[in-house]
Amino acid sequence: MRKQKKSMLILLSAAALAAAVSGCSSSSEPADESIVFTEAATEATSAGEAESDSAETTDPNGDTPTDEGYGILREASTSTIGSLNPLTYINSYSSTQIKRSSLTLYTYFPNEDYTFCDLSGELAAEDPIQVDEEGKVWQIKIREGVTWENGDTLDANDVYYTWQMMLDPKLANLRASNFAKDVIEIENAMNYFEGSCTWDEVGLKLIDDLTLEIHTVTNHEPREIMTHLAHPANCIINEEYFEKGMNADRTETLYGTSEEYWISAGPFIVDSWTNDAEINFKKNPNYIFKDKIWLAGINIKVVEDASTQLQLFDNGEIDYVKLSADNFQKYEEDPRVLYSSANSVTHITLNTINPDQPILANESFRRALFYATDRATIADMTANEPADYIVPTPHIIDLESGTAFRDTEEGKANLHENYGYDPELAKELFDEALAEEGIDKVTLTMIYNDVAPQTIMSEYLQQSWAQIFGTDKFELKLQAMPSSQRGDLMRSWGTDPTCYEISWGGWVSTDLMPWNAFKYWTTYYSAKNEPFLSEEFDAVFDNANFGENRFEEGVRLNAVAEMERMLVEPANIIPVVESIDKYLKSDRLELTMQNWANRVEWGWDYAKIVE
Amino acid sequence: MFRYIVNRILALVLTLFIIVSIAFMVVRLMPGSVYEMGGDLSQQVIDALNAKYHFDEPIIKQYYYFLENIFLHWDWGTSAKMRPGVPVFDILRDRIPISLQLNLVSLFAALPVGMAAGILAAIRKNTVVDYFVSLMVVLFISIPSFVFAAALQYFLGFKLGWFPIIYNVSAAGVARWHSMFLPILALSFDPIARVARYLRAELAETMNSEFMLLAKTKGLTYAQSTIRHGLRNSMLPMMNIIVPMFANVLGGSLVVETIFAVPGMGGLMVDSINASDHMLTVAILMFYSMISLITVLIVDISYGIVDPRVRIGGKK
Repeated sequence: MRKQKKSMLILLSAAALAAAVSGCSSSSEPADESIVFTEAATEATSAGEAESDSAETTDPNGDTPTDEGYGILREASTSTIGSLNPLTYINSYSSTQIKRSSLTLYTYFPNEDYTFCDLSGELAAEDPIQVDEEGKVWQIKIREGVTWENGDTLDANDVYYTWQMMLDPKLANLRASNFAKDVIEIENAMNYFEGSCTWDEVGLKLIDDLTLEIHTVTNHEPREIMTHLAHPANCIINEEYFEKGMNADRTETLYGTSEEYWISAGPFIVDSWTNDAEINFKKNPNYIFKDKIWLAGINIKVVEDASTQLQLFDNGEIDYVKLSADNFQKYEEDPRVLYSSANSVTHITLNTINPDQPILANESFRRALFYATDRATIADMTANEPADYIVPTPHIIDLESGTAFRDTEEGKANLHENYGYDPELAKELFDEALAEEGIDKVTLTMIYNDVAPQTIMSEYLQQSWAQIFGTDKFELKLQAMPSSQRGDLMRSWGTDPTCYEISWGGWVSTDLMPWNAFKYWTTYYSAKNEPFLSEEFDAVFDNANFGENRFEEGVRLNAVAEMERMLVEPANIIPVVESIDKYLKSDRLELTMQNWANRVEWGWDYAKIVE
Repeated sequence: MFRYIVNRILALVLTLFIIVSIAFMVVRLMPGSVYEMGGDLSQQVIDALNAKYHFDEPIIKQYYYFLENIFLHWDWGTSAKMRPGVPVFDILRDRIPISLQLNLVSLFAALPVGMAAGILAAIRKNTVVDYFVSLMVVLFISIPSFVFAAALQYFLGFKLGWFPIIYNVSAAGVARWHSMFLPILALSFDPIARVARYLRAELAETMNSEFMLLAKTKGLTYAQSTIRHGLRNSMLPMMNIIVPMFANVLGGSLVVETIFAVPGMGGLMVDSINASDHMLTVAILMFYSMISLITVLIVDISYGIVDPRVRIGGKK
């Protein structure tokens, strides 16, 4: 009996310990801040309503945005915000949140009639001023009176500190190259990052409290400088908070990793933040362009499960939701669905150097696959647009006129009849390739993400290609795997040429600079999916991006058309569909954007709550 | 007894060391580079990052740095992807409390329910009640917890609106527990079934024992003999399943946490593996290993207390 008592005592002790642990755990949540925020939002709502009643208008927002704003935009995200540090963030979702609460020198706003984007100064007071004759030295004037959330002055010193930290060799920031060399290349920036020159030699100068100077390697026009500096990686950091999070040997900082190490200056202020779970923004009443913001705040919940997100939307708990390929069919007829290009063309990538599949290096065979791909049917199955091209439809070739590349004669010349689907030609090319290679049958393995739409597309190609080429002559095996694993595998072709045979690809690229969007296929791109290595291609790319004559009329247009042809005609990659994003939007949310537009997209941050 | 406990703890530490070492090797040898992630990173940046975190050095040297940092500075490294620059244990510190809370509450909520069902089934053996409990046991064990989670979320959360669809991280007090009810319930079904099944079998066997017959012949009522002798003897072996059950529930919460958007350890492990966040993955694996080893340790120690033959069995 004593033994039994002892046993029960241990069990009870374990229970007590567990209860204590479970009791302790609730203290980690910043519940108070969140409640305050909710109350503030309610107050804002009430105030807005009162104002609206007195003005006898149906719009609770009033005629112009107030300092507090009106209504909370509620979002759900499948991604977590790992860090708000612009120097080290990983995913594009983080960059969206960084931009919401930080300033860049230049940024994209909706234009006056909310139909397109407008690139203009945010912290910068005006467009960059050309200092030299060549267009390699530029000065940027900073606005006066800009402050951080705590009221401290934000001026050129903050920008200069950001640049120093961005390129700091000891910190080795993930985003250093986004700043050092992208649209423009800053003189000696990467050399300093690599430790081969001093800071004084870098082409970044602090002239005074409101003036900065940038020296570039090649000549540029103002818009290129502005585009480069509008990248989210170039958001301005706060020295006090950055240093507060710095470790002793100055190799890591906790800046932007939690509420404690973050200070805002952008359109919104981080009001409360529970890492990997929820973040609340409130409108920044001191934001330079506060008159563009109607919202009182934004609430974002991390909800990884797509079906849970849909339930939240249907329950009226979030204001919009992105529809996945799996659940789109249910809402296909719903008038609330918003469609927009995802700014990416999904294509088949081929490992042409795989020694186990020399047929992939055969151009006739690759073209056979190109012509055997029924893009219209695949697009129909996946609710996307058929694409026999690489440059997505929203890519603008001429910003002055707003002309999309696909609307130009050069763009149209790259299109094929019936979206390039020609089974007879495909079979002819296939037989030709087999004869050239001296083989009777081809068996390929396609690796794909284990989710729609890649599952649907892969399974369809497995059947349709076999039907066209003959089941006795062609077999496509499928191998599903998680996205990240597939990406790692594909990118290892340099060290292991047998790593994959064919797979899927798709880049989201700079939609206002389609000539820059081809960087993924240059020989020097660091994370190439496929072994497409062409010096000729590099030369066209370099000329379009850095060449002396690139500003001359038609140079870039022709370069884009040529690069597209170089990829598609020999079927180095096989475009299949242009991805279409589908969103469901609630009625309480009124978009100020008249349509989807480049860079600002649906303009969620500029929307109104009309409940 | 003291020596026995010390021996068991030393064995735990050694086992943990081996597990962490294997985890480190396996994670580091996985294909793909941490920073070749398809973003706009130049090769110079990738090289600089690989050099900073010693990813460009041989695996043995990386392992040396790893152990050196732990033993000299108790530094388990920083996250590379999930929360760049944040020490991995700071990330775990944010996540562990909610997972522990969820799992412990579901387990301790399940115990009385499971026991009651087990007792009921045993004393009403071969009746409708017993058949019903047995059916429930089969269902609860065979259907994974995430299926219950999705069903509960849809019917009780979305359709009926009795509970929040997801866990409300910013709520406090009753509202917080209200939003936690569904994930707790989803995680409770399996332990309820296991406890009920085990207790029913133990109690049914005890009820047929000769000492129970003796107790009744000595004048004890059915209830008195069942509670005083039957239950007491049946409850003792229960300890063997309750403690390890905690590790099982923790595993089951991986998907349930994702469904109810609970910011616990569940999603973190999968995300860190997918993101090639090596140091974080190793830290998470260490956490799960630690939990499993501690449960084994508790069982071992309690065995030693209950049955002295266990702790002296190894002696020559």
